[in-house]
Amino acid sequence: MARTVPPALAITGAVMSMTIPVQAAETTVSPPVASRRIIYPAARLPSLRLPNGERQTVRSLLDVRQPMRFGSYVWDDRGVPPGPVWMRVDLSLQTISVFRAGHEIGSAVILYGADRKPTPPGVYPILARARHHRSNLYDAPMPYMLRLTRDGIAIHASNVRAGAATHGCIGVPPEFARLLFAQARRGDRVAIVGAPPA
Amino acid sequence: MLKQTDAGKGPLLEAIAEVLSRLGPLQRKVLIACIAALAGLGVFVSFAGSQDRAAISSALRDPLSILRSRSPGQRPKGALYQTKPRKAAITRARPPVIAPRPKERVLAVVRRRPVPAPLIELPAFALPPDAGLTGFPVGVFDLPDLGNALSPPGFDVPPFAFGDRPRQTGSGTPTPPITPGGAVPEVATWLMMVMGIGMIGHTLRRRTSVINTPATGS
Repeated sequence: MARTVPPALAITGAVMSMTIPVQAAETTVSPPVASRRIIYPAARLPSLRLPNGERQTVRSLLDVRQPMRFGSYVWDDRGVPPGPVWMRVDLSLQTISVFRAGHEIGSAVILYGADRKPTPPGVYPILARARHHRSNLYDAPMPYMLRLTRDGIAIHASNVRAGAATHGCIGVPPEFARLLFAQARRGDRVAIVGAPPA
Repeated sequence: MLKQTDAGKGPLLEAIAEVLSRLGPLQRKVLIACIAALAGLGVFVSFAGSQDRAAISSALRDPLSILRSRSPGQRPKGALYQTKPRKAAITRARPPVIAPRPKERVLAVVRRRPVPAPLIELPAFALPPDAGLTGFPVGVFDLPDLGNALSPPGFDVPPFAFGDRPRQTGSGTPTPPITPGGAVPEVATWLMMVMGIGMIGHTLRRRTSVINTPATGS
């Protein structure tokens, strides 16, 4: 009986017991920051499974208390030490999470490929970066582009709205794309997981 | 005996035992039942709390559940969505580029600029003394025009040219050079100018006075 605790209650209890409040003195309006962070105990760090079988340990997660809307994002890297950066794109959840040194520093709602032009799951290193990129396939501006594959799959700024899809790229909100572009370096890995519902 | 065995266990149990000994049998039973119920409630609460904690820790151990809670949900299957327009559509929608064209117009009549014939200079030659002039073109050479007393019959023909313009030859008298007039006008010119300006001034003055005169009479 007690195992069927509603997850919301469980999360709330966990948040109340295991979070640290962020200093309220800093009033940076943009970017919107998650007010709290869920920190895992160092003895029992969980891990996330990547499509190629690897596991990435997670030290902390941003506590977004409600489902994010299309076009919204959270970003908070205060107090997060420098370290390796990797990204996890979940197609079925339509979200992206950016990790630095095991701590999640940003998350946003994404757009991904349409059914006829799906985004391929896998683990890809960032091949190239371009702040002002113009697609030669679609003749459209794609600022803050992080190229993942040689046939053009990339993460770039896009007008993230409900009812939209891409031709295989991963679209993120422009301001989030700017922050992500500043974090990501060539060679950083992007894991695209979760095959979209067929 | 009770007092002796409980003596070493502390004052709390002693006090409880004393209270129990003072109570009646019914009251003792009620008190024991209450204590048992309280103890059972505590055990249940602690058990449930441990189960809660287990659920919480298991949910926390899985970061996917946290990521799932922030997701806007799956994209609906077979949803209608917008994608980027094709490049052809973009280029078609673009306004046409208006480039400045060279201006040209068609003339009704084609006219050609006359090309001046090249000047051909013939070498000077000497006519024999008895040569007739009938062999020469009539319009070009006319002996009475050219000839005067200075030119003997056996004259040297000055070089001439075929062309649309008659070539000035050096046989005519040189025109005297034109000397420009003096920079300072003559006295008569000065006088005439002064007189003219004076007349103009007089006329203007007179006309102004006529206009300014008040009208008299009726």
